[in-house]
Amino acid sequence: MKWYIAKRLLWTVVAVWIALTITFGLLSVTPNPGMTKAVMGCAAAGDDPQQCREQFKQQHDLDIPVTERYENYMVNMATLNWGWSDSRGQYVTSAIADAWKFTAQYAIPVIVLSTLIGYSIGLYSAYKPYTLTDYAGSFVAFFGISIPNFWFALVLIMLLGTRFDFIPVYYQSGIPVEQGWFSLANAMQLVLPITVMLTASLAWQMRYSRAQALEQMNQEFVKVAKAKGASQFRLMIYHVLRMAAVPLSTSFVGSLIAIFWSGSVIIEQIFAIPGLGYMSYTALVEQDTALILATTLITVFLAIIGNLIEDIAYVVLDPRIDYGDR
Amino acid sequence: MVDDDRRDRLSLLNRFADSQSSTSRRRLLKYLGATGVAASLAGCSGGGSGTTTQGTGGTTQPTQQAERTHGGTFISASTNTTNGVNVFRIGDGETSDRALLVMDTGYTNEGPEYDDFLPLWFDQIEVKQPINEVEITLRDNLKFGEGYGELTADDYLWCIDNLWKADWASFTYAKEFYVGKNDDPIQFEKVDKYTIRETIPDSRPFFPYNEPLSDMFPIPKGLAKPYVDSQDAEGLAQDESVMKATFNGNLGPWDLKRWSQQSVMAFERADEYYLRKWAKEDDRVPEVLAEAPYFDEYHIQYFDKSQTARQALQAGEIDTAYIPSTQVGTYKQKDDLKLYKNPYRSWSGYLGINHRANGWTQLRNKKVRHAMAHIYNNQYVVENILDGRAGVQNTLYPTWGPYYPEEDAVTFDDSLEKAKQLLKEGTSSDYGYDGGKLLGPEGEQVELTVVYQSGETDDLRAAYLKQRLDQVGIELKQETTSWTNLLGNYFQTSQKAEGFSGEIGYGDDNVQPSAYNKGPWDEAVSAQPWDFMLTLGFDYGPLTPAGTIASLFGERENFNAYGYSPSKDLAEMRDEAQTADTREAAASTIREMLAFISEERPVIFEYNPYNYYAYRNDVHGIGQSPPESYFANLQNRSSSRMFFSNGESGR
Repeated sequence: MKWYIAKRLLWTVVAVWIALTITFGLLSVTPNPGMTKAVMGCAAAGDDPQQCREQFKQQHDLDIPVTERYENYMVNMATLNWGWSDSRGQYVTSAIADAWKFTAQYAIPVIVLSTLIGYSIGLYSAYKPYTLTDYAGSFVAFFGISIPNFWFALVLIMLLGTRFDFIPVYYQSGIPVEQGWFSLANAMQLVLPITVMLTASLAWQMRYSRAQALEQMNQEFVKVAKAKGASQFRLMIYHVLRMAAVPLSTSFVGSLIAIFWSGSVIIEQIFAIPGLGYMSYTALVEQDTALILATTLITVFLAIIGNLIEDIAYVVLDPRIDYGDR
Repeated sequence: MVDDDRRDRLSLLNRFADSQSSTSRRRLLKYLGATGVAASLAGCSGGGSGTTTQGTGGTTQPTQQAERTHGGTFISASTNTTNGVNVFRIGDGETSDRALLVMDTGYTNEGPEYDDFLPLWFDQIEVKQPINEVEITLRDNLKFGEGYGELTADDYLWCIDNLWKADWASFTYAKEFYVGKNDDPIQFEKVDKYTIRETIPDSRPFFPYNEPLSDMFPIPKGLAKPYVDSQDAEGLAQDESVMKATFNGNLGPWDLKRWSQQSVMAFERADEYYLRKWAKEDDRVPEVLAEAPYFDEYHIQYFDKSQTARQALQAGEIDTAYIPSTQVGTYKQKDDLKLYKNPYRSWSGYLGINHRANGWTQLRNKKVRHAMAHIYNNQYVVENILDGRAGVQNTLYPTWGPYYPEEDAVTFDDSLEKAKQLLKEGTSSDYGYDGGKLLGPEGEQVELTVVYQSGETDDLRAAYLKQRLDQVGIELKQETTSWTNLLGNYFQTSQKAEGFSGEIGYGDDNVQPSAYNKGPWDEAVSAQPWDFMLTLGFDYGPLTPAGTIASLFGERENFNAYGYSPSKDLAEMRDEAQTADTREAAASTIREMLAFISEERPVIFEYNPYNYYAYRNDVHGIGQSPPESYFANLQNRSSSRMFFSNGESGR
């Protein structure tokens, strides 16, 4: 097992290196938008565009051989010297250090809540399939999956924020600074973002767990447990969930990245949350190369480490799986 | 259409863009980058006549000083990024606006006459006759913060030589310090501790209206010197003190308190704002400023979605937000909000016409363009598509501007009969009508293309153009694209025209004025063909339109992407205005230019849009709506004059 984890960690380094190399290669062959803008600016200002092009290249080390640039790039990445973000006016590492907390404060509750609630409803639906409660659960799931996040967010803002004044319309980043991250005021302004994010991810967890649990429900050991008079709770948690948890554990990384890339961008835009999702979006829109590289790196890293954790979880959840000989 | 009127305020900053140098062109880029929709040019400035030594200052105050209350946090919504207050790297309107919160400038204009100004850092401006020498005297209570000492003439002179004109610094407005066709340098010298003398090498009728120092933000020598010594422009631009202007001392009404990227910039009331003293002692400074500003804090809250901002406003969580013209009706009904209307925007929306070789050849004929002006009726656009929330324009200038050529502006009605007649007369002999269709040389129906960035207003404008062209037998193909693509592949002239094999450029030297005008219409064309273009509009600066007109429509000028070849030398006329002996003579030339392009219609002039902002009812001091004039709008909503009725924001 230890050797397996060591090999996987080594592979993580290789995979990150490959991803960064590909990103570097793509950026090298893609026209530099910054240079295009600078040259356009010079031309329009009546200056010599060629001179501006050379100046830009010099300023951004584009005049040195590509191999040397690649080496510098890799060294910078490894030493966390990720450069300056023009779109934010701060170092990339500082930008990430500032932004991740804003995402984590709603992403973590969403993951925890969607797992707990989603699995609970899923298991309950599987225990009593094709009943009114199952249909109600399915309705909630399909509603959550179908309803567009941005629209649902706007409706909630108009209804609960503007009309009834229950909760804040937008996220005020000064509140965690002045009143604390765990203050009631901060929690209140996270209610809407968490609710919206929860609808989609909860629905997904619920449908998936129901399907997995239904599969287990027909197994002999479940029937035996039932025949022996196991309670509903014991049956579902001790017998069914224990077995279903193995395939279910594979959903964590997927849901995390889905939340990060699809959900958080929209949620953070609408609720004005200065988190990682919105930062990544802005980096792309503003063509902020340094920030794009950093956010790419984070995503790759999350995916690879997440997969490793999943594989380890396999072993913990199912002792029959053993990586000892790998 | 852009979502706020920042351009208006920047036009004020543009006042010193008096040259045929690249100044105005640089500013145009500033707008291209800043707004993504409009662009601005500044050119010859305007105003009254005579010599002045004192600003008139003082404005009508709707609220008496005694009624004003202190306190609260004012929150303003912004859909523009909150990217620092770096006074060394101002290249866009938003940064300018933020910088102006923490640092004042030399003075600010309060009227069209050049002696209508509110003196800020500059106590005196003396102009010698003829206008070739200006003496500026600074106030004596200006102080940098962080122990950098007093702001004196030495600081300006040091910044001119070491930052603003230095090659290594790539300062955006370096060319402000040069004037005339040959870019002759303005000479600056110290007269005494607070006085700087500027000697101007050329006749400049609008000085000091367009004097370069008045809009510069000096950086303390102690702060900048290490970067100057190492010629590290990037280091200076990224310096924490520069990024946050923490050296601003008592030079502005606000200090930056907190900056959360992509979220909020929180400013707090400056403890020792220098102008408070002068409001009590200097008759030219309004009394209201003696206690200004009236909020404890001023926040610029960033919203990516303007709809969220408007919801936050309705919920009372913020105090003001921009209201798009399409939603004005809704916001008029809201009891807890008041609407502020600004009809004085220096922005021109028009239907662009491609005169180049990859556009419809017949559009180079004025009669055909006149036909288009009948077909695409600007009155209809303003009344029906813009719902009356704009002014009709018949030239690149608003009807409220001091140079508007009242009697010489040409107008067109919406007569399709006249349009058809003009099309018959204006097109070449191989064009003609068959039934209701206008047929080309090959016997096929004429089909034209309009390109634009999709948006509610532009979609409607394109649909109207299509419908109207259809009524005169011309088909229209609509192409929508992104802003970047619009500029890069349609507005830039990056390709050789079909059949042209020589070197692109004007004259024997093949001069290429810019990426947007690389050469004559029959040599340089855009990467993609087009006939009409929406979306792109330009800021002309209400007092500075000559440079804009020349840059857009002068044959060899930077922004003549249209490939228009005027029968008058617009660049020469601009130079004539900018170097005239008197302001009256300059104004006369500008009117002539405006009348000329009104009659020529190189593009189909359309509208001058209004701006709307909604405020919470308890915000006061925002001024009259609509304001009395362009200048009244600039000062009305100043962060220094507004206040809450009960002294707190009520949140």
